[in-house]
Amino acid sequence: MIASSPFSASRLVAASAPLLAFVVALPVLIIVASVFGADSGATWGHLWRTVLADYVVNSLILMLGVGTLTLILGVPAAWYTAVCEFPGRRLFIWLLPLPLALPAYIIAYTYTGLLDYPGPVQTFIRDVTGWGREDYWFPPIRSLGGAIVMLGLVLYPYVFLLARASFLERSAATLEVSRTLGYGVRRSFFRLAIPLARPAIATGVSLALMETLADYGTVQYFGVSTFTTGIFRTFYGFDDITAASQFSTVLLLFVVLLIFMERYSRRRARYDTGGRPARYENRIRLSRGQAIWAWVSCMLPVVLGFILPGAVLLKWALVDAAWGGASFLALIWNSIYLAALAAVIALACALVLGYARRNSNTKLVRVSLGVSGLGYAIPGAIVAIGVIVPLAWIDHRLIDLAKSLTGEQIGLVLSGSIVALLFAYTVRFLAISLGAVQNGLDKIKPSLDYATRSLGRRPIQVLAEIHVPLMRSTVLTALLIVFVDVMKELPATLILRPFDFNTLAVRAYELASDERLADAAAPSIMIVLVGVLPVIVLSRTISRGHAGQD
Amino acid sequence: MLTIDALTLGYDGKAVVTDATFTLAAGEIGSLLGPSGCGKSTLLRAIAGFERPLHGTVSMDGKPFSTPDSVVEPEHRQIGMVFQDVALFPHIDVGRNIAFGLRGATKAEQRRRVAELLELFGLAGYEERMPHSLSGGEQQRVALARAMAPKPKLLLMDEAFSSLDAERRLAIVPEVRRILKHENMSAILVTHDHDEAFAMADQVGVMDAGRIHQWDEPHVLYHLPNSKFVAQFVGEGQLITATAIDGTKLRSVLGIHSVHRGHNIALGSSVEILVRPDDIVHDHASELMGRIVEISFRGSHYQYMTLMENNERLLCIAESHHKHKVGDRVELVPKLEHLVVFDADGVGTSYDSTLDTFLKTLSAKPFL
Repeated sequence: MIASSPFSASRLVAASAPLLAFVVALPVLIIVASVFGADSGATWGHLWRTVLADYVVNSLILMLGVGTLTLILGVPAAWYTAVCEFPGRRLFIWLLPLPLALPAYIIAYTYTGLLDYPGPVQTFIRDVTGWGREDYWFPPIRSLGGAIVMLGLVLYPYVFLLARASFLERSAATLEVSRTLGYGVRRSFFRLAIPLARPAIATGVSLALMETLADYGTVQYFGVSTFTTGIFRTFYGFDDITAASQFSTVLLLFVVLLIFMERYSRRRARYDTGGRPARYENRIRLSRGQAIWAWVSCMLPVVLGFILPGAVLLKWALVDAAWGGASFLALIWNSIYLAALAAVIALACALVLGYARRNSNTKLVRVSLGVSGLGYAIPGAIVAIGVIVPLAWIDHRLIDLAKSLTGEQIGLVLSGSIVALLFAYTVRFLAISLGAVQNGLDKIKPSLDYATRSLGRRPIQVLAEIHVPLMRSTVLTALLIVFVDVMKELPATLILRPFDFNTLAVRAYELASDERLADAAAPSIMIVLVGVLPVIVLSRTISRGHAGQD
Repeated sequence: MLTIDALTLGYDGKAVVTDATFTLAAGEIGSLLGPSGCGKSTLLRAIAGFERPLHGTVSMDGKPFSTPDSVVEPEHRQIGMVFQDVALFPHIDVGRNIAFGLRGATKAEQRRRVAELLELFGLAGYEERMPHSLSGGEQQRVALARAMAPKPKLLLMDEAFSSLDAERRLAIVPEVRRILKHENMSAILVTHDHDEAFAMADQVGVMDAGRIHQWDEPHVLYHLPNSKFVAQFVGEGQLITATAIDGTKLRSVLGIHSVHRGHNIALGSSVEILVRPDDIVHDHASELMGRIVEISFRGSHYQYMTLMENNERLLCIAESHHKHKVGDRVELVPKLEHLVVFDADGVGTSYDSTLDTFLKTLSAKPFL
């Protein structure tokens, strides 16, 4: 055995990696295993005959629509801001990613408030024309089409960011070459830039579609039946966890497909990448007419995806909402400490896995890392179901044990507490911490470790004097992003939260469900405010050529 | 001071370095020279204490440092190391990088040593610069200074100059040699570039496929290589065929080589002999002719690749003002002072010999 690692003493870390990976993978394994599990014939057969086809069709239409919309909104804006020069370009680079900070369910509330029958738009139409309810047709916002628009408006930044990075990286040289060969700007775009950026764009779309499949808040609010609402209905309506799990596996099939698409296109993207991002000294100067197009392409997504819903939220929050004093403070506190705890736990797991790979890059460790990173693609509802099953099992053993020992009746220690939530968050968001930690560790070349050792430091001192200071910023980024994602997370929180325990996201959802849209603005705007921060961090990372949640 | 004895290194039972043996005296500079993947870096890392031997020992001043059973930790060896990718700590300034290994010393001593080294490397006043603001050559100087600061008994340099461009390398290698000698520090340089190894080291070990073929002074390696691999890896040259015609004589395209103490090559059998470019000089006073097939101008001289009548090739050196074209037939004067003979297995033997060219009638023929 060769002591090729400066931390040859840390075999423990390497040994714990597969164990950790198993625990993190457990919820998904349980869901998959449910296919072969107890027969929930009645419920399942009922679902199969009645609604399953609806769910599949709706989910497919939703994915198709959201995919198309993110392309339409994301790609042109990426192109214009990457290679063209027009007034406001720099501002748009900052503004365009911002909708990512808005959870789709929150933007759905704002548009419902704006466009529904009692909203200001329709009221205005009626006031001006004097029409009554039956006299005109207005596109219903609470519909499948509405859900597509809402999800498209907040998810296009994935496509925008990745496409833009790809345009920046490759187009400078290729574009110049193609223009010397007599291609115009427009033809260069379609014949060269788009094909070159295709892997990156595909990655962006598949990330957006994973979020689409995971969405619960929007489709539920709009009354659209998809897989996630189906899982909730089976779980709560039929109280049948086996059927819910089996339902989840159908959704998992879709997810697996997306993961393959994402990994495949990402591998191609990596393969295509050559060298550093080029600096554009000579951006294409647009004519006045072209500049207006560029402006519209960039303005439209920002206004519809961020400024308009943001303004509505702000108005509601400042003018109409009832800020509920002490209970509101409790909400904020719950959200913050839950998110902070989850971020720290995810980071700790990521550090164990990251160092395991650095110290002993065996096949087992690599597989462990791959498995641990899969959670980001699994919808929160599935993770929640997968978490309940093992925790409830342990709880019942504990209850039996306590009864036999003391005769006392104890409650659900794990499944009824925030342990369940934290477990689910870790499964769901570990990939983000892991990506950041690996990124940070990759930058600390092994020779730095060797140099430090040869200058008389013990392994633990290498960690303290070199790794900690060098990893600080990556680690903070990882904490921040997980923190915000947990604050925004809705479906898993809804299923797993302890009785009478509320977070900002859950409260916003409840208020909106009670048609108290303006009151929902108070918790919503808190989520958005916290959420803007990491979007800026994330978009900077991606612009520098890293794919964020790699 | 450093003794490497029958050292075998490897992963999962597969040997990467086999049976390496050499010694380095105090104050001496050695070099491990070989193509990439030959095991030279692994050997260096074993000396530093980052690899555990499968067999053999590494010892310093008679103390065993690495054996298959026990390995003294790298931080307890007083061995400094410099890397190809520089490996400066990016988060602290030049002064603190260099002082990193001086933990026992007082602040004043640290400052003095840092200033002294910066002065030696021509970087006076760089204490507060950050590593990223330095050029590649400056970074490598700081890395060297950092490794030398604690006055290690031995300094290991792993391809330390490979990332620099040729011009910088030409400047820094003799400079580092001068500083090492000034500090009376032993050192080992791992490199794939024989010019670099020759410019730096007192002793050079040529490695291939995990084995040290020859451990010798540079001029011995060049002129008396003990294997075909060493002959071809170190410097330019050609191998031509020679046939044993009696117990003391070999015949080649150059003429009859008389081996002073006799050879043990079977009569009538053929061997290969090494001819370096500087063994053949172009001069008008010769009747050994070759046709030029390639010309390379080296500034102070020309080097011609010439094709002999038996289709063997020879490199030859001509003075800078002897200007010829490809296709010209030129006169060649062999100046071999010893004969390096390789048998069928590529094992080399050197003989003192003299050469009789076939036609010594120097003035018999007019110039062509």
